[in-house]
Parts: sequence; C-alpha cells; structure tokens
Amino acid sequence: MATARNRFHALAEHVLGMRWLYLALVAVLVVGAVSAISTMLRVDNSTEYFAASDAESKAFLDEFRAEFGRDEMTYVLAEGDVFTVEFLTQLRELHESLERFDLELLDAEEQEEATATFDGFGEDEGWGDEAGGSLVDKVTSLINFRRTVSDERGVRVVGFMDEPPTAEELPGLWETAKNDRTMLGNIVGHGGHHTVIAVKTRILSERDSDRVSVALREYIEPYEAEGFALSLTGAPPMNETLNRMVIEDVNLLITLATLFMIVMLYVLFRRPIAVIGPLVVVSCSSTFTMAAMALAGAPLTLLTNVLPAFICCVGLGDSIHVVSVWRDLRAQGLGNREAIVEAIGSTGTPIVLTSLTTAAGLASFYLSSSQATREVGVAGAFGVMAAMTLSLVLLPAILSFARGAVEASEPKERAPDLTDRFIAACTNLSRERGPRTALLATVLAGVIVLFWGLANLGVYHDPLVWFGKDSPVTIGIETMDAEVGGTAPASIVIDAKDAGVRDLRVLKAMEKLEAHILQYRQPGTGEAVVTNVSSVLDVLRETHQALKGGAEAEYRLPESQRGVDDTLLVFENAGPDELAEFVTGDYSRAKMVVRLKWMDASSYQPFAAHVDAGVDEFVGELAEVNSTGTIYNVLRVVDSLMTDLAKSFTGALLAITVMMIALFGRLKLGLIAMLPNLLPILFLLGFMGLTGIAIDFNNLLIASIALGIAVDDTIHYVHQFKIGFDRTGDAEDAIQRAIAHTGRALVSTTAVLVIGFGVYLSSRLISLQRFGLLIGLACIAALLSDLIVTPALLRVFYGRKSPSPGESHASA
Amino acid sequence: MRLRDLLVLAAFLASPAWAISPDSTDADAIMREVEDRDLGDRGTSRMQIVVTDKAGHSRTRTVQTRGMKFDGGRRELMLFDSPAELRNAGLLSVDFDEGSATDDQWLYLPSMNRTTRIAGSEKSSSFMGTDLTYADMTKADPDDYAYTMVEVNAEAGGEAAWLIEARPVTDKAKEETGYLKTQVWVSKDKLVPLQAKAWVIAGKKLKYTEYKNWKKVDGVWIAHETVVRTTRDGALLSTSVLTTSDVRFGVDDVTEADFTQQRLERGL
Repeated sequence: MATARNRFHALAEHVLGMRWLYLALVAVLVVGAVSAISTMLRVDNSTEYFAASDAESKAFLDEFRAEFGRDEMTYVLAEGDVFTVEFLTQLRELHESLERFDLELLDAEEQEEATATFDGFGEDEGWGDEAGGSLVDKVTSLINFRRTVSDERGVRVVGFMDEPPTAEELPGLWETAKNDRTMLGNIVGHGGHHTVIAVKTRILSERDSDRVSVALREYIEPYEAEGFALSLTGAPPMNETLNRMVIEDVNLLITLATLFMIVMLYVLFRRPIAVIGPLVVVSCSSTFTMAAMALAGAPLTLLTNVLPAFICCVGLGDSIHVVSVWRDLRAQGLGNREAIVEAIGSTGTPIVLTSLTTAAGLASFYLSSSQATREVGVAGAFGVMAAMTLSLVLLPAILSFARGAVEASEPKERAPDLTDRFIAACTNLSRERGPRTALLATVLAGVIVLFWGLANLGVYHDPLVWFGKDSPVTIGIETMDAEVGGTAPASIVIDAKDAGVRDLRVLKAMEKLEAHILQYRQPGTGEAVVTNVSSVLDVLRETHQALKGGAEAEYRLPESQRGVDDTLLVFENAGPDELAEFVTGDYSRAKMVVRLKWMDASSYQPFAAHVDAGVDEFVGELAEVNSTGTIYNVLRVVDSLMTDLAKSFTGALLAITVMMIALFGRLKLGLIAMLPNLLPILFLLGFMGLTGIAIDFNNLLIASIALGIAVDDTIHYVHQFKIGFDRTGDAEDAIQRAIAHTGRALVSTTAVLVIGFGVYLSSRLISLQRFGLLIGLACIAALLSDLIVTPALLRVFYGRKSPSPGESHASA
Repeated sequence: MRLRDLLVLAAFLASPAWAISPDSTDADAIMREVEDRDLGDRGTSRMQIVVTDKAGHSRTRTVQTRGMKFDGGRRELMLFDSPAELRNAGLLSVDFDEGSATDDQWLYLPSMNRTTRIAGSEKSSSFMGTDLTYADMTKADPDDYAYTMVEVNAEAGGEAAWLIEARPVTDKAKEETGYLKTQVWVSKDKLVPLQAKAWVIAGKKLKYTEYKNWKKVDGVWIAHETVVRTTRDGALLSTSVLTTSDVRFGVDDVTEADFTQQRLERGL
C-alpha cells in the first residue's frame, strides 16, 4: 500500500524529527493569536460596512458627516397616554436625564482626526477625567421640539413644552400637535399613545456604539413605570443586538462544532489521539484565522462568523484523511512513525489540491465590491490553508505520541452494506446506454427547470428579518414605523455651490422635490412609506409664519429673495443651533432628511428612482443632489449582490477549472470533471429561485463555497478514474475502481459536512439557519452529482472497452 | 482737560489692576475685578465675524456696532454692512445686568420694512451662529461661580497671568453657560481674560478662546481679535474669528436715540 516516495514523506520525517520544536511554535502562535483576538477583534454589522464601498461614496459620506454629524439616531419609544400630566412629567425627567447621559468611550480619538493643537493652553489632556459631561449631542422630544412662535414677546424659537404644562393646557397642546405636520407621526403617534425621544450622539465606532446602546437600555430601565413603557429602537440598538447575537452564535457554533467533531472522530476512530489530533488542528486553524482577521483590522460580521464552524468542517476532512490512512497502516502492523510518514505521504497531494480548490472558491470573493465580502473570502481562504498546513505539520507531531498497537477496525472482506448498495445503484444507473440516455435527458430537463428558477432568483436584504418576528428589535421598529415615523433615514444633500441654498429658486425647487417625495406611494401596496421630510424649508416656513403673526396660510416660503435672507437672519439669531442641522455654515449645502418605514432593501429601489426623477424634474441644473443614509447603504448592498455573486462565482469557476485541467493534465477530463460540480450550484440557485429564497448577504457565499467543497469529492473520484483509465484504458473498469476507492469516503465526508453545517440550524439568527440548510442541500446535491452524473459523463466521453454486465465493483 | 479725559483718568485710577497684587492667590477677588472692569460706554466699532465649520465652509458677516450703558444694563445696536443680501438689516439688543433670560432683541427686516421683536435666545445658545454663546458675550455674575486658583505664575500670549478655574455653582449659571467648568488665564497687567478653555457638557466638547491684539482705547482695554475654536478629542469642529476695528468710546453722537426702532430701521 506504500506510495512512491514524495516530498510529503520527507516533510513528515522532518516534522517528526523536530516535533517538540513545532509543537512549541504552534503553542506560542496560539498564545499570540488568543491575545490578538481578545484585544483586537471587533464586531461590525452596520449597513455601512456591508455596503459596496467605492472611494467616491465613502468620501461623500465622510464629508456629509463632517458637515451634519451622525445621521443614525437612537430612539427611546415611550408608550402610554402621552397627553397626561403624569406621562409628561416622566417624559421630562427622562429627557433631562438623557441630556446628562455619559459613558467613557474606548475609541473616541480614533473617530475624529486630531486637527486641533493649540499652544499656550498648557498640557492639553482633552476632556480629562472630568465627570459631568455628556456624550449626547442633542436630545429631542416633545419637551423641546422646535417651534417658532409669535406672541406678545415677539418671534421666538421655543421648545414645545419648555414649561411643564398644566392639566388644563393639555387638550390644547394635543390639538396643536395633531395639527402640526412636523410633529404628528414624527415625534408623537397618531393616537396620542406613543412618543419618541431622539438621542443624537457624536459619531461613534461600532464598538462604542454597541456599548452606548447597552448602557442606554440599562439607563432608561429605572424610568419605566406603569403607563410609561419604554423601549430602545433605531439602527444603533438594532446593530448592537445583531452584533451581540453574532458573538453568542459564534460561541454556540464553535461549541456545537467541537462536540460534533468529538463524536464524529470517536465514532470513526475510537482512539483518544485520533480525536485530540484533528480537534487541535481545526481549533488552531480557526483561532489563527480569527487572529489574522483581528491583526488585519477585519471585524467579525454576520459573514465571518460562519468561518470558525466552516473551517472546522473543512479542516476536519483533511485530518480524517490523514488519521484514516494512519489508522489503517497501524492496523496493518506498521510502526507508528512509518505509518505517520506514509499517511502524510499518501494524503499530502490530495489534501493540498482540495484545499487549494476550496480556498480558490473562497478567495473569489476578493472580486466583490463590498469590503465585508472581500474579507470573508480572504479570511476563509486563509483558514482553509491554515487547516491544510496544520494537518500536514501539527497532526503528525500529535500522532507521534500515540501509544500501543492498533487493531484492525474493519475486516478486510465484508458484505456490502446499505451505503455500498446505494453507491452501486447510483453508479450503475448509467451503465447501459438506454438508462444512461434517459438519465442524461432527465438531468437535462432538470437543468432547464433549474435555469428557469435561476432566472427568477431575486435579491433581498433586510437585517430585521434575521431577528424573527417576535424579537423586541423587530417589534420596536415596527411600532415606531406604525406610530411615530419611519426608522429608516435617507439624507438628500442639495449642493448649490454658486447660488447657495438660500437662493429662492433653489428653495422653491427643494419645496417641489419635498412635495414630490411626500407623494410617493410604494408600488404594489400603495402604502405611504415616507413618513416625514424635514429640511431648512420647515425652518423658513415656520419662521415666515411666525413673522406674519402665525396665520396658517402664512406657513410658506417668503415671496422674495430678500424675504428669504431676512427670515434666515431671524432664525440665525433665534435658533442658530437648529439651523446648523440643516444647512452648512456658508449655506452652500442643505440636508433634507426623509424618514421611511423599514422595508427590505430592494423595496427602496422604486423610492430612490422616484427621488431621482424628482431631482431631474424640479432641481435640474440648479444644484447637485446626492443621497446617503441607511436606505442608500442597504440599496448599495442589494445593487452589488447579483454582480458580486456573478463575479465571485465566475472567478471561482475559472480558477477551479484551471486547477482541474492542470491536475488531470488533460483539457477534456478537466472540463468533464467540472460539469458535475456545476450541477449542485445550479440546483442550489435554481432551488432558491423556485422556492422564493432570494440572494442575500448570507447565502451570497453559498454558491462559491459549495463549489469549493464539491470539487474536493470530484478530485478524489476523477483522480482515481484517471489512474485506472491510464492503466487499462477501460472506462468502466476505471469507474468501478474510482468508486471502490472513493465511494464510501464521498458519502462519509458528505455526512460530516451535512451534519457539521447542521449546527447552523441551532443559531438564533434566521439567516444562519438558512445558510446551514442550503449548504447542506448543496453538499447532498454534490454527492448525488458525483455518484450519478460523473460516471454517466465518463461513460459517454470515454466509452467502455470491456463491459462486464451484471458485475458490480462498487462494493469491492 | 475735557470731561471725557477726566472720566478716563478716573477710570484708570480706579483700575482694578491697582487693587490686586500680582502675587495674589485670591481667585475670587481677581475674577470679581475682571467682571467689574470697565467695558467702555457710548462706543462705536466695526466687527467682522467669520465662522468656519468642520468641513471648511465659511460665512462672513460685517456689522457696525454702537453700545451704551443704561442703569441696570447695556444696549447694543448692530447694523449689517455685509454681505450685500443683509445690508441694512439690524439688530437692537438689550442686555440686563441681572442676566434675565428675557433680554430682548429687535430685528429690522428690510424685506418686510418693519421691526420684529425676537425674544432673547437662551444664553447657552450660539451668538449669531458663532462658537460664542450669548453667555460668553455678557458679564458673568461672580456669585454664580466658585473660583479656584490653578496657577499663580502662569503665562498666556507672552504675558504673566493667573490661571483660574471657574465652576458654575448655581443652576442658572450651569444652564446659561452649558459649561462644566472654565479655565481662564487672566492678565496680571491688564486684569482682562487673555484666553479661556471651557468644558462644554453637551457632546463633551472643549472650547478654546483666545482674546488677542489688546489695545487700550480711550482708557479701556479692548481685544481686537477673538478666536474661538470648538474641539472634541483633538478634532477641530468649528472656528469663529471676531475682528473688531475702529473702536471708539465716549462718542458724542452715541445717544439714547441710537437705540430706538426708528434708528434701527434707518440702517447704515
């Protein structure tokens, strides 16, 4: 059974000669890796991180934030009878308390480029250890909601409830709020049972943003009372929950994957060293991968959190090959050292080749337009290569500690079992011309159906769905959407460089655009998903109205340019801080904030098109208009999904095809070997299209990963076929040889992968559950393709030299 | 010697600089003298205000000012000179020494050809969109603060100075300033603030103010340039530069009649 001596034999001998050195080296690396993970690995699941990032949009976002600050708000949703003295007293108390909310930030200085250094102010320690500051920039609620009023004291910008109202004043205030379009459905619910406190903080790192959300949730808890129910909602708390679930899921998936591996390895080998060795290999591989991500600054995301379990599954395959051969050789009476060297020598080449193809499948994501996707590709490829290296280096070092003789675990001759019969049945389906033709016709028909499904494959991106319907996050966002304005913000920036946004023509164009946006109805449902639009127009109209004595009819833009200038001057003096939220200091740019109900990303596409049409029609050449904010980020996500899928899959396909051709040394065989690998991918995507499962961020990876995994089986299979065919020139004989050598291994590795990926079903995130299910299906499809389609194709293209009817070698 | 010169001499002789020793460590006494210093009366000046935001966008305003004391407060008339779109608009404000929040302003809007009364802004809100607040622009009541001497022999702008920390102790002062505390470098020579660093509660910002280009005008020390920078964690968020020129005090034609709606509406 000894194979011709190759470099892997030499490698194993070298490792065994210096096993303590290698073990120590790995131990040192593990310590360093754990340290890097615990101190440097961060989590980031913001839509911004997932969105395709080109230099232009990033520069625009940076500029936008420099001008207008953070666009994502945290909302405290308060439920109860809002217009009662008790409720409003509690609201005021919470509002004032939130203005004092503080938390020491970990990444404060990384968020803003240090540009200010002043001489003469002593040793500048920044804010220092002073307590009493607040990281909150602004708190907005019914208490201080901006209103420009005109009364006997003149025109004033006041808070809606600067002074606590009396019970007698409340009906009047509710009436005012109901008739004020900037308040109803924005800060207070239509039924008067909901109101929000919007908390605007400085721009925070994802880590600090999560800490702030956690702290705020605890902070508001003591204020909750009967008739004053509170919940924290908005994008930052949603991201925090997502990030927390990702970390919890990683821990859960790693634990389950480890348990699964222990059971699997024990069932297979029944020896402690055969359990410990592979376990250490995959654990180290996962640890090194996470550490590499930490060192490279790549965060843990919804995508990368699948990696530890994925690397465990894939890495386990490598180790099983080595341990399996080692165990058999030991059972045949070989000494431990010789068995290890021979096991590495005989499995080294396939391990390297299958690792390279899997890594190529993952590395193809480097072609993606999103940084998050690129990172998972590179990190995944790194992990696969780490598992390969450790299987060839660390595993022999560990196996060298095996003590005692190994008894043959399987009899050399045994009766065919269910697996054997299944394999034989699959392989023999195409043995005769008639059934073969029928089989290939069936496959072709299936392919057509799957292509039809593929054509119907949609894209979808909605982080809210990942939580499930009953999650507090989902309930919070849906309640806010229904009652107090949408949670999804879009910021439209109007840049009127020369004229400036104070130019009446620009303002009138903005007003038309605003009306156009408010008229938007979602196609299909006719729902008014735009809940409100706010901009400098509100400031101008309400100030103008106040200057004209408050008459309802005067809620409009001034008629002349001088009127606009004067009105802005009033506001500059009466409420300059509010003005700065909507326009830049030089009036060159204005921000229009549109709040929409939360929907899946694709559903915002008609809205974006509607805005674009409005810009073309009403703004034209007057100003340059750009859009940013959460919904534009998620739109960029879905826009990139299909092209990323196509790019990465094509990249993986080309790379793996070239590898296959190079591996088998023949163009024809390489191409034939690729066909069975395309079927499971087509099955996967067609199945998704037929069942209405759209491409989203999570399953975007599946096709390329599945291809990388499926190819592993084919390499083993076709490699054995080639050896047999080269030897005899008989395709049938070569097929039977290939099945005899690899059939059971294909089934068992598929079982390992399906059960291994089955651990994803235990995730709390629906997206991960779906990922596990789909990739499991893809693995089963890949197995069936290899067992049924591969022999059929080989028979078609290589013919049969000496058929042996009725004879089955499958169980040989 | 004219009456005005006599007044100036009297003001000089009564100058607080004579009352405080350079070695004094009494922060409270020093700050009372600073707040009580003469700010001049019946004055005219020209002021350019340039506000630059974080992204580098600037807005410039030029105003001509007239100021006059009255019993219990001070009146100020500001007439916009530029930009052209604001020319002849004007602001008349009354600032009561008691620091009432009801300080009032009247704004003349040429487009409406009438004067509108706008209620005095919250003292902690920005003065005309600059980094300065209305509270920064008015005298502070020393009774509202606890002063601590941080450094007796400090230096600022090349001058010997006391470094004094001021913490608001009343709710009114805390609310009006929005500051947790302020450190002020007080000139030992002139008993004027040379620079200040303020800890802004909202958003944990820091505000650095430099009062520069001091000149004595008609016996009153006047900083002709005030530079205010707001920062957070070392990043510059905004800058305001207020440059004063053509300062004069005791101007004969600054009279009560200058601080009326009629004068406001007449413009420049």
